[in-house]
Amino acid sequence: MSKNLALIGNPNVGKTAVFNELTGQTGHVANWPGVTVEKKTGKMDKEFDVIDLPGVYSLSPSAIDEMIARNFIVKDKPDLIVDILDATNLERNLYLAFLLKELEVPIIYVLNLMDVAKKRNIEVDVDKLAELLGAPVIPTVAIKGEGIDAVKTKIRKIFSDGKLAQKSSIPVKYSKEIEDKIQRTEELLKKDAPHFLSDKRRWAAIKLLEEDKEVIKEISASPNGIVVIENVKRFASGSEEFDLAGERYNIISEIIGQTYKRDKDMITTSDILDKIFLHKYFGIPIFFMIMWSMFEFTFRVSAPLGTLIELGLGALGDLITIAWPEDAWYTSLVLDGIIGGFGAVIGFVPLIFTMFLVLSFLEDSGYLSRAAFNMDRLMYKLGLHGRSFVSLILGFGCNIPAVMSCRAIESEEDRLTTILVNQNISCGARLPVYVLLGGFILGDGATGTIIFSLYFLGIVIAILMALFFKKVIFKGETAPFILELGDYRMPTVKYTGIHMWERGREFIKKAGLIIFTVVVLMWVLQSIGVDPDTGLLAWGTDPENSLLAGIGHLFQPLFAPLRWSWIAAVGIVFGFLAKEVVVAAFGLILAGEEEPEGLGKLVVGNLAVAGVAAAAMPALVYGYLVFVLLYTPCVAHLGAVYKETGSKKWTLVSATYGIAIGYILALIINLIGGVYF
Amino acid sequence: MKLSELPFNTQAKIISVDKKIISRVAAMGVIPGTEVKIIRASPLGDPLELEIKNYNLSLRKQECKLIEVEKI
Ligand SMILES: Nc1nc2c(ncn2[C@@H]2O[C@H](COP(=O)(O)OP(=O)(O)OP(=O)(O)O)[C@@H](O)[C@H]2O)c(=O)[nH]1
Ligand SMILES: [Mg+2]
Repeated sequence: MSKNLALIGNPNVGKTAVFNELTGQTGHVANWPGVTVEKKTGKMDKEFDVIDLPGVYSLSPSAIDEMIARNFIVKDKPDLIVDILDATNLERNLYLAFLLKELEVPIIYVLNLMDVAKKRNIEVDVDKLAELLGAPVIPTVAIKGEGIDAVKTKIRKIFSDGKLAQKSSIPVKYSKEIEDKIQRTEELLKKDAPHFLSDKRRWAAIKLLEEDKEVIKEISASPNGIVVIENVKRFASGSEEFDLAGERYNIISEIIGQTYKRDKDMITTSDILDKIFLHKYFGIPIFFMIMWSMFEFTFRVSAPLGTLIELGLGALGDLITIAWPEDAWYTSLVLDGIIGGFGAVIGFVPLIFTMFLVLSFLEDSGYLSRAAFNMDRLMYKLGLHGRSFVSLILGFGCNIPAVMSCRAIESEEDRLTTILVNQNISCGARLPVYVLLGGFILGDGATGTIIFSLYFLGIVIAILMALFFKKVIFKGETAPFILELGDYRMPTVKYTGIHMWERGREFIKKAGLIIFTVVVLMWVLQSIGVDPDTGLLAWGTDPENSLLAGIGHLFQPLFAPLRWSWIAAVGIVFGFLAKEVVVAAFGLILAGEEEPEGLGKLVVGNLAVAGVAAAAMPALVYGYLVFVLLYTPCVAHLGAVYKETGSKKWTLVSATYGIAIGYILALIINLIGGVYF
Repeated sequence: MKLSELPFNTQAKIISVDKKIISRVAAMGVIPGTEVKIIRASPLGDPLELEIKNYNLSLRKQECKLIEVEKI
């Protein structure tokens, strides 16, 4: 049977980096607390299952991600716990180490971030530390892979020797007063609830004294549990949680005094950067500048690459037109379906990838927790939390991980609200539509402004909806803002690259599976149609009579008040599967038509029903873009909302409110823009 | 005095922490006897950034009101 190794530690200490090195996987590593929100398993040496857990400061969870980590450690009984410690912040990291020691389970310690510690002139006496902790301590630099072999060797040795570092489990001894109470509680447990955590009775006793919510909940559910709680209350003073924390930190101070030397007055780069990024007056303007340059960079860098791909695809198309028989079905599949439809999406790959790159850089730099710090007040006014802000920013990449990241938000009300408003943050998949059509509203030069206005509108709607949800539906206190502001780190090319690639890979998977399949499906639907002479279904009829057009005509009445054509309707309907498909649908349907000025122009020419004045087209196009921004991001997003809320009701709310707001706004824009006159 | 009233960049020692938040902050090192200093406030005035146990922690004023400190 394979052995379980659980990686645990404070948030942002490099657990996932260690996990990646041990297992050869590429889990998401980033520089802010709360990146990993679910447990992830990988293999080391075939015989070990390594489990990466969300970061925790204690074993008394207050958010879902912490609960996952705590339950794994307490209930799933891993064969060995690998506690990752941050060498630059050892004192606080040792607190969790002591909580783990109390569990009296086999443990080893990995002292990570040794490179940063060295730079700061921090000296750690590793051998002495191991002696005082009573378990092996192995120094590492996880992102460079240094020390990982030593960790592996140690793990193998522990299991092959068969003596599971049991001596590490010398119980932590507290003052006589506390020890007495622990003992009395243990006796009560033995008498009245003998089966409750029987292998961890001392630990259970400590947690009962501390009034740990989870343990109290668990014991209340077991026979006679309430009796134990009542009896403990008789001699407990209620300050045990305090006293224990104090005593633990006292022992830790002692250990630190013997093993750890640091230069107290050293000013770190992070301190200096914080003076700038958290500056009283400049902090917020700098924040906006960072966001702005992110987008600016994304567009400027990716534009030439996108054009290159388009040119390449165009040339390929010309070649095929010359070389292949014109009326063969495969010519149509490749020309209309793949180059026209799928190619329209592929042209935007550089754009989407650059966006991922920029976001990865931001995440790895350590700035995100600063953004949360800068914005918490504003979020608080909206009834939300600084943490929600981080989730919102992640939405610029993709709303699905953003929805998942909400697990780190403590209060259930905040979490649900943040999940439900995230969809308004414009993800990378919607960008191609904006780029394709944005130039037809105020002219080519203003594409950037239009795109910016859409992003901005999304943020405004997110804020308004947050206010609505939080003030009307999920009333409740916002949880305290307790956030560690860790060090900035220069993102390494390797890690930012891996990170971008992880996201990019998801995108390519999506492009390869969903988008490609949908495009081929649409092509088939476009190729089959009703023959006007016979009234029967036939292959290769006029696109106007195709099944795809039929679907468009079927849904078009829904959008008739907005004056959208059946082609516009097809884009919206299939875009529900993935927003990139909107562009692909246009590319496919309009593939046969000539338009030297490009697809965008063609689309604009076909977006409205007959009778809409040319002067009103900009408004209609903008309304369309606003609808694309606000309606359900995609089915996968709904899946994520369902998974995270566990509620059909909220999933339905998520799906419908965006459509409703988008529709109303598009109507209003049409009205203002003169579409109806 | 309350931690929320402590002037910036003044070293102080924690005397007591309200029971309401103790389970949340004890693990972070916010316990009686620990030295603490406010480094700055967020540009919008809240939350505050503290230096405690050699790292930087951010808490809202609201929570800082529940922490008693004395200057040292
Ligand atoms: N310089 C340096 N950076 C490291 C080291 N290990 C990890 N990092 C960086 O530290 C940050 C956090 O790493 P993660 O592996 O995501 O940390 P984690 O503990 O999994 O974090 P959570 O999942 O949020 O709890 C990332 O920016 C890493 O690149 C190291 O040994 N040296
Ligand atoms: Mg992680």
